[in-house]
Amino acid sequence: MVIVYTGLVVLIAIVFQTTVAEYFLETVGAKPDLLLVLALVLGLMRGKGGGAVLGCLLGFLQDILSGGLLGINALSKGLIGFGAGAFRRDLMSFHPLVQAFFFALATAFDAALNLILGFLLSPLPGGIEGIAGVLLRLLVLHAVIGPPILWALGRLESRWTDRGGVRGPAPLRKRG
Amino acid sequence: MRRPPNRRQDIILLLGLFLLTFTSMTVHLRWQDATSPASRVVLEFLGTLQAWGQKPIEALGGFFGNFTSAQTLREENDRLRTEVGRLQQAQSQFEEFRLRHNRLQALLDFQETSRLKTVAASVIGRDATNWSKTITLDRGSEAGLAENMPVITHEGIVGHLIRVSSSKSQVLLISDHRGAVDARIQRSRASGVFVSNPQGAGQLKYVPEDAEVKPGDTVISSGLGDLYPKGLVVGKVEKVKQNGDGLFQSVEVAPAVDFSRLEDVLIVLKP
Repeated sequence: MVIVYTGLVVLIAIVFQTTVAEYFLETVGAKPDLLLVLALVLGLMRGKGGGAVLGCLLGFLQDILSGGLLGINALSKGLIGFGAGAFRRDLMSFHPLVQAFFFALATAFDAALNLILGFLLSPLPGGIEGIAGVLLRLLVLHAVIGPPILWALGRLESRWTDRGGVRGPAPLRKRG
Repeated sequence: MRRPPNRRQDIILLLGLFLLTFTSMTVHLRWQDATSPASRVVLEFLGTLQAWGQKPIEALGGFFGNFTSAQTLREENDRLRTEVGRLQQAQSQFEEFRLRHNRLQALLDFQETSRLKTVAASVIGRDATNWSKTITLDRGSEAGLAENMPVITHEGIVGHLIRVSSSKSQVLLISDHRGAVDARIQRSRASGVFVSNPQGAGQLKYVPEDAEVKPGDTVISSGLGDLYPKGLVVGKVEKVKQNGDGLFQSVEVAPAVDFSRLEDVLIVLKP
């Protein structure tokens, strides 16, 4: 059941990413990277191993669909899935604002890795002007859509499967 | 007691991840002109999925488009109020057929006048990332397509094929920063290289400072580089600025093709 559920979520995300996401480019100026959001969410749900494997798979599919350097997104999403898995226990109970920060952080990491490796391994004639604008929009976009997707998929998973892995967002805790 | 084995597992996992991804990057860089059998299968499968998803998505896209601004929404609302009484389903369908007919007629006219041997295809999907710009077409090697074939419309150059499966193919647009076109100014014959930045804005690079270029000039492909035939329209010069370095001038170019509205294209078959 978990495999079917995960496969379905991945398929929907890919179809969304290659079709609907395009309309965000016209309105917001950047496309949400749903596969990045999903890599982080799946890492949180499945832990380091599952996060790395599923993230890597999502990245490979994205590389094939984007026509870019094959493996670049696989590495980035795999590491994000792994990293999210390492924070599994802590991040799930954090306030949505803290979760939003982690989604923005993952976006910055993904962009940095994509750009650095892309330019190092496959030098291109074009400039890098305009990247900051796209990145800023992406950071905000992912910070906004990430926590609700995390919450919704967590609820769906606990309802459809017996894992019950994810709790909803908890109120902001005072530390110390 | 459980920590060391977990840490070892993590290290193995990370090493595996790095090994797998760097191997695929190396393989990709070495054989980047060929479509691997694995990516052919995935492209075929995902391309079919995209084609299925595209129709309801187009309807949804129209819906989302209405929310671009309050002004657009108001105008759309007014227009719909006046049209709702008289428009019927058949008229709507007819309108769609008419638009498609116009697009295909324009392509056909271009096909006949250009003397290029071409194959028509429809766009069924778009890129999955923000860092590259590609589209997926509903034709593949069964229609005679192969890697590196130029893709055009009657307006100008769209890009070139980078992956081809039996019934789907993928196009790298010239609005992608890797989609450079060796170009020249049609009027003065000044040459340069057309490239785009990540936001899709075009530039004609390496135009000598003494070359005659002015806004409104048409930029065409030079035919050099063995990718695009000579004389295809790339775009129009928008702004010209002297860099002051005594070597090149900065030339901003608006691509002739509106990549966000692409629906039908022609692929130039190489002899």
